[in-house]
Amino acid sequence: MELSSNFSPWCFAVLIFALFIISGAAVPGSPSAAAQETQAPPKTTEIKPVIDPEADNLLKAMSAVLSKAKTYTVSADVSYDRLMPSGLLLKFSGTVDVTVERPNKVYASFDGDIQDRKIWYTGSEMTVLDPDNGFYGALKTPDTIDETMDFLINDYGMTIPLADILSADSYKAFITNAVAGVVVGESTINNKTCTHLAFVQKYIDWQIWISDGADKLPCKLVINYKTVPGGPQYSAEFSHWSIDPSVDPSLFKPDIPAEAVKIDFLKMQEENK
Amino acid sequence: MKKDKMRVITKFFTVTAAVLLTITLILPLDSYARGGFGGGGGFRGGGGGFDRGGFGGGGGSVRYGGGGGGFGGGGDYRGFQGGSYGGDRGDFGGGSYGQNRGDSFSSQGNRNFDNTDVNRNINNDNVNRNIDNDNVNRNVDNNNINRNVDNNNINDNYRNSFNNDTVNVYNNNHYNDYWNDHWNTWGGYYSGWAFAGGLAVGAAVASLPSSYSTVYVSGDPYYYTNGVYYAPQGTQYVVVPPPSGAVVTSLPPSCSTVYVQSSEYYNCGGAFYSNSSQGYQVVNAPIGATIQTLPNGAESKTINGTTYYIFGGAYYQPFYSGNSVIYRIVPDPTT
Repeated sequence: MELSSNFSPWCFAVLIFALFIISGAAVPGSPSAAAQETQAPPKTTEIKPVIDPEADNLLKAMSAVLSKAKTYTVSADVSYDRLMPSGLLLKFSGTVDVTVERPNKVYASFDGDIQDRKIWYTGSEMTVLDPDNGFYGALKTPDTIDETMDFLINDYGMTIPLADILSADSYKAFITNAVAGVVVGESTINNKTCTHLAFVQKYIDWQIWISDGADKLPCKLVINYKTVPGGPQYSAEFSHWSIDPSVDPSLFKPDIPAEAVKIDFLKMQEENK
Repeated sequence: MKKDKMRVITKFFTVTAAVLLTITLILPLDSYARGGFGGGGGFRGGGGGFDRGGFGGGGGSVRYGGGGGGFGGGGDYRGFQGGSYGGDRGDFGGGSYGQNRGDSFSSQGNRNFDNTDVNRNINNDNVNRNIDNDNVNRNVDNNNINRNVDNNNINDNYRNSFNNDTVNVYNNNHYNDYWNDHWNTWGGYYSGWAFAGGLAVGAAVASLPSSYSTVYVSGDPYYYTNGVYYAPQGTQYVVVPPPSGAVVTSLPPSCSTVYVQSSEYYNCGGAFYSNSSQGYQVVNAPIGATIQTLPNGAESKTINGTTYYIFGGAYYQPFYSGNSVIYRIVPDPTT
């Protein structure tokens, strides 16, 4: 596969820098660097991310579109790897449908190979249904999507699908831990021309494809987990973007089958009891 | 001109890569040690969970998924703590009580009841006996993947796949446990009220299988083979649930490791064993243990508004933990 002209030599430099950072080899203050340079005392310099401004701008533009939208709906075909103890890496897939009404309503439905789930978030409460085993549960939650996502992850270890794009500031969600980012080139995804960006973080590498044209929207997101045995990958290919559609309010009302069994959520702190 | 420049940079890249590779090889596997499924640190440090219980592959979040933390880092997934999958902050908790290692990968509850299983066995010497819609696999020396089409279960039987040393290593990593807990739902060996090695508890046979060992519990003889216990009854032998206190030298074919506090147990389809100096001893289901998948044959019962699943005299209570459903063994709520 050929790299486009966008993938300039500069990109190599960025990537090399990123590799240095990640390896810890060239970072002042890291143990390995300190051991090698005896004359200079170790410094605690912050690592400065090296992000191609073009990549940065595209990410910001995409985030702006998502932040500005009062409502939106999107579907994503998701795939992800699981390493079997035998060493075999299996790929599973599923479909996510998400409807968001800012600042405080989300409906998400995941229909996958090994799990199905529906989530309703209404500002004060989140309800989860696992249709397969007939369980559901409800939690009191903070007022906004962002606060709720933090609350869920911190207190309950839960995530909402496609969390990165649900955030009111998805640019921040994406860029916070990136140490390097480049523009790779153009791709056609679902008949749309999208710009392919790649980012490096310490523990993951991720790539995002953002549609060209007026509405900069995610076409695809790929995450590679570098420190996880088997190097599993997560991929979400977005389709059916709809920005500011009218949304039926009843969509955010939990639809729980009469026979479903209500169960409690374990808080993470309980773990340490 | 541009091409030349590119070549120079590429060459530089190659040299750099070689240097980095060398450095990487010299460096201790620190990242693994701290590791974590996604790193070593907390979620907020960059997150970590690849999987987080698997909501579609764990959410696949950059914000909550990269750099730092952990999958294992966290509580829920404490399962991995201390092992290569363990992060060092442990704040991703989800809350499996009692340190159940290996819950992490969870992505599903039990989806297994009363299904007709179809197994596609790859690369193995496998015997599947499908009886009355229930499925018993006896996997001998293989790497086995059973993809149960109807209910999407995967059995990857590490005990069959790895030698003991390997299993121990994996136990330290608290990784395999999950898979067994999670995927080996077929474990019909104490499916008491379902199956035991292809035979229902209570089934009578005229003669014992060709190889068995005799174990005594309180002076009474039992005959054990491959996870199944027989008791003499007249001129016949009857399949019985694993008698508490029995000590055997080998575990049933499919077990997962669970931890309660720091005690190690093996969950073999709802029959629990602990280590003993002479092998493995049948024990009561350890209160506080958390498993991913109910034993086959567990029956639901609602007591004071709470739903429990009862199997082998033990009560299993379902909870949301992280993105998955887990079952915790709780004291008998009726007492």
